[in-house]
Amino acid sequence: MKSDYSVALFQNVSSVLKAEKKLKATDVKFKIIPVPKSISSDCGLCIRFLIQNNDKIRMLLNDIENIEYRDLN
Amino acid sequence: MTKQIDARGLQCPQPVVLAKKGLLEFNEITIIVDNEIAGKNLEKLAKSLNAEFEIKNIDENFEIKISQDGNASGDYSCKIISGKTVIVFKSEFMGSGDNELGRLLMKAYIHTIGETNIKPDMLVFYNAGVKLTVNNSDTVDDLKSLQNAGVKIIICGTCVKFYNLKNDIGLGDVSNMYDISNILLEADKIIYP
Repeated sequence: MKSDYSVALFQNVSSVLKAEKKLKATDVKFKIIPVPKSISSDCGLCIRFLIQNNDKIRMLLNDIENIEYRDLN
Repeated sequence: MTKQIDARGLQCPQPVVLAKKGLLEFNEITIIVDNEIAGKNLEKLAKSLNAEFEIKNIDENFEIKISQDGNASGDYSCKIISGKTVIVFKSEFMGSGDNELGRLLMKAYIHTIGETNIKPDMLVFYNAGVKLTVNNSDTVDDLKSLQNAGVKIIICGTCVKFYNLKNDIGLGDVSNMYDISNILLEADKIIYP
């Protein structure tokens, strides 16, 4: 079954912090979680959000480099 | 027929392993142990097997009778019956060093506690740790689901007052130093993230 969530993966913690700050200034819901075991990433932390907010999040974070987006299973 | 087992001087899981073995051959066993924890372990075993359990205190020892109808098919591991695990949040950061990193790590950690199968018995929050429990915090939702899953949440009242958060605490029991001291004394495992 597909889950309702996607994650944004970052290259380092500084990018996660930057992204968190940006998203906090909006009303989009998100959560900082450890990168799921099934995914590999340079940084151990990622941002989880509802799949339906995918476009919104991508737009908000578009100036942060090297973000990867994945849907969670 | 009853099998007699002498398990004095043996550490967990030995008494339980012996009891289980005994119950594979006999419907009833009498097992002597010399400590209460072993007794409790055996009681859990009996429960998991749906067997009858009787414990008698004889001098310094405990004589335990376990009887059952069927086979010893119940599952048992020492882990299940291990003691209380308490996680203590003494600040809003996980570890010390960079606070921004510590803040992120703490959010991820609290989320992860809820995702794993093994749950702690209690979470204790004091000093700036109480900030993790306020209504508009990023951690309150995860903490609420932990609470709903049966994890007890204890929050230091003095600290809540100090940080002026009295009206913002959205969960758990606001408690005092006596309770917190007791909880820490009685814990078998204390984790400081």
